[in-house]
Amino acid sequence: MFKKSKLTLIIGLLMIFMMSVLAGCAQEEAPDQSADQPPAAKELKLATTTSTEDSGLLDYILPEFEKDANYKVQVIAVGTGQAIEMGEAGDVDVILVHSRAAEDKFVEDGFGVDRRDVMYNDYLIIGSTEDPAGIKGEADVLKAFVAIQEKQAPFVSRGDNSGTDKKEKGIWKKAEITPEGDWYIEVGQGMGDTFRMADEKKAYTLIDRATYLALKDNYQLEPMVEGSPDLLNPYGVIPVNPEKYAHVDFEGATAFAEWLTSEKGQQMIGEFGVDEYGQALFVPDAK
Amino acid sequence: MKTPFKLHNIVKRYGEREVLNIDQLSIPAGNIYTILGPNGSGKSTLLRIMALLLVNDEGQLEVLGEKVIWQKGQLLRLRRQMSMVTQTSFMFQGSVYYNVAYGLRARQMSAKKVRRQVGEMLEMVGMTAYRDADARTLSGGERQKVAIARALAVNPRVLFLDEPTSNIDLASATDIENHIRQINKQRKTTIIMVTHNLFQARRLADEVMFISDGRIIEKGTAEELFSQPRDERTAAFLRGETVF
Amino acid sequence: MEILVQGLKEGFLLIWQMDAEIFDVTLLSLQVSLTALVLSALIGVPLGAALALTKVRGKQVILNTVYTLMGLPPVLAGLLVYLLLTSRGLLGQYELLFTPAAMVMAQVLLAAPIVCGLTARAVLALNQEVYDTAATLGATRRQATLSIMREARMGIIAALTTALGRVIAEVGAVMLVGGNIRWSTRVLTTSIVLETRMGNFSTAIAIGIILLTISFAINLFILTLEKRTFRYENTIQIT
Ligand SMILES: Nc1ncnc2c1ncn2[C@@H]1O[C@H](COP(=O)(O)OP(=O)(O)OP(=O)(O)O)[C@@H](O)[C@H]1O
Ligand SMILES: [Mg+2]
Repeated sequence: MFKKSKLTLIIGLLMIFMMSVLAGCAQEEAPDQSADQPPAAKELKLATTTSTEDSGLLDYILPEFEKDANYKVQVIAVGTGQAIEMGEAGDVDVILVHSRAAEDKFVEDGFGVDRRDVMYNDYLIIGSTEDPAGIKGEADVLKAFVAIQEKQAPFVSRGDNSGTDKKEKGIWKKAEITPEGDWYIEVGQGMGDTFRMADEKKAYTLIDRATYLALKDNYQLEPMVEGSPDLLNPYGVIPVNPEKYAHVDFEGATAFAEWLTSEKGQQMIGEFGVDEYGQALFVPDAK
Repeated sequence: MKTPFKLHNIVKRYGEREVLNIDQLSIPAGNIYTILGPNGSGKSTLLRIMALLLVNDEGQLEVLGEKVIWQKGQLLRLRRQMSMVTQTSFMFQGSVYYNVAYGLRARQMSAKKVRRQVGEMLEMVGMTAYRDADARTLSGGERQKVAIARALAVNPRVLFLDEPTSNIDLASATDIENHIRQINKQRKTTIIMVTHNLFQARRLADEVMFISDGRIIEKGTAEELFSQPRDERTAAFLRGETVF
Repeated sequence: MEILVQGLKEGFLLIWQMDAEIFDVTLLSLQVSLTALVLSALIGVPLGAALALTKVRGKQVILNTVYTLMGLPPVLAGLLVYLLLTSRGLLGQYELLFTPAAMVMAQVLLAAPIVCGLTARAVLALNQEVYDTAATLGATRRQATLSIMREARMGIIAALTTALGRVIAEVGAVMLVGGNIRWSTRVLTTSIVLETRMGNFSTAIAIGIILLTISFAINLFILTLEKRTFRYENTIQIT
């Protein structure tokens, strides 16, 4: 009896171990795709945040870049944190993210080179029309956050370490508040899901304009605070350092970064969304 | 004592096929009644109808003096006066003891009484040493012995035996035949038995019935049927010729 | 390999230090999934047995439906519960959305068909002789039914372990109806998703290892319990 259960235990642990090894190996596999691709259209792997993909910006501009540079872009849309991790692991050729501090660290640690400003979008605070914290029309987002905390008004935070999440945490910090308690709801989900949950809970949340415009018709929450300087959100493009990973397509990555910051790329970014929402979702700001 | 079984125009069909059609059958109390017939002739089906396990499609059935109306309370009352050794001697998962105690426990008998009764029954079939063995690991013959002990444990007024000794060696079979005879004598148990062993039928039976294609071909006392079969088909079967 | 080793290390560290948050998350996972399993068993076992044992009209259709629901996509199950519980939904007034109760509901929706369908299969696989033998030995209808269930128990236990495996590893439904709220509805699977999305691969693997270990422990418990209750189990010998 004892022997038998011991055996089962060992087998079980072995199974877990093997599965973990497999998982580990999967992480390590060096991406090697371009080998037998025809030279006609080379593949470029781009890790970016869900916001650029969900908003439709990439669908709008990428075909033009692909035509101009003869590349086929594979978009991997994840959180900023994961996008940067992918760059650090050499799994992608270039990243397009929005978290200035993390981006600078990425470059400092030698994983990326030649970061360029591309554009910015802005965030807004939305909430139910009942507005329990009385922040509607407030020009300074810091004051609005103080009011929310004082009233213990429900606030849904993405809590997923994404660019948006970091932005929000930065604002709390700047307002010298440690958000805690039942009113502060950390959901650890993407923007769309966070919007949905905030709507369900009639709570406030911080949201990027692109997602807000795309989804607002589905829900009831309305803009409370917008235009505050602390709510701006710059995007940067960073090719992965070829000295770290010889297999990355640095040439393609650079071509992509240059195209984004070119006159044509900038113009397209500036006009995206005007047709559909009556306003641009991103403001080009390449220097 | 009331006549245990009276069958009148009993018909059973599976789909289109009529597997049983008994126009008239009455089994007297205290008898050892043997049913003979080739494979697939409907013997087990007849037993299952009489044991109230299978509902007939047509006809009237009277069991222990009651007209069977297939009502839950009646079924339980009547079934508790009979028991059966099924053709394959199915064993519940568990020990030999668990199996033999099954009917007693179903009747809420006290643990002490169960223990004594099971002990006696196992003694009778010579399976005492196997009391705690896994019933599923028994040999075919051992299983039949346990099934017989299990069926007799509940002290039935009617006992159905569907080929009870088909897998049992000669010495044990003789033993079991003796027990069957003894139970029939002492407890006045009516015994209805299907067998392919003509000698066994001859040794044990008071009355014999021969069935083919679901119909009674011939019935009568063992004496008559074995010595002077009236129907040619019976005679052929008794001679061991395959005519069906 | 590095990530794996780090994940293993981190996993043991998390358990060793009884990290308050991971403890909370693990406990909730267990509570939600075990509650869902018990409820599913209470619904699924009797229903599956009834489906197998009674002659109702359209039984085949019902069984087919149950078998189909066994493959219900978790997110769809979650969505159905979501629509039921949303403030504009049928049960909106009870404010159950984003609570563990909602997660239990979604998991029951996933697990009950599995328990029901596999129980029905296990019972259908039995021979008529189980009932015949019980009945001729004087069992009441209830006793005979219990004996049938007893004979089918290996299949029923398989049903329960399968269902548990499904719910404890399930993420789509609990993410949707629970909302993955920290300190409230975050469970092991949603934590794995979150950590992965944040790029904390080793933490994600660490939590995954905790999850697998728990599954293993529960199954071990069920199997030992079964062995203790039923000493007689046949193993087919292959030579
Ligand atoms: N559930 C069922 N469905 C369809 N046909 C059945 C069913 N049960 C029995 N039969 C058929 O009814 C006929 C009679 O079967 P039964 O078991 O009564 O035969 P038997 O006389 O006992 O045969 P044996 O000597 O082989 O035991 C057989 O042809 C069998 O195929
Ligand atoms: Mg038969």
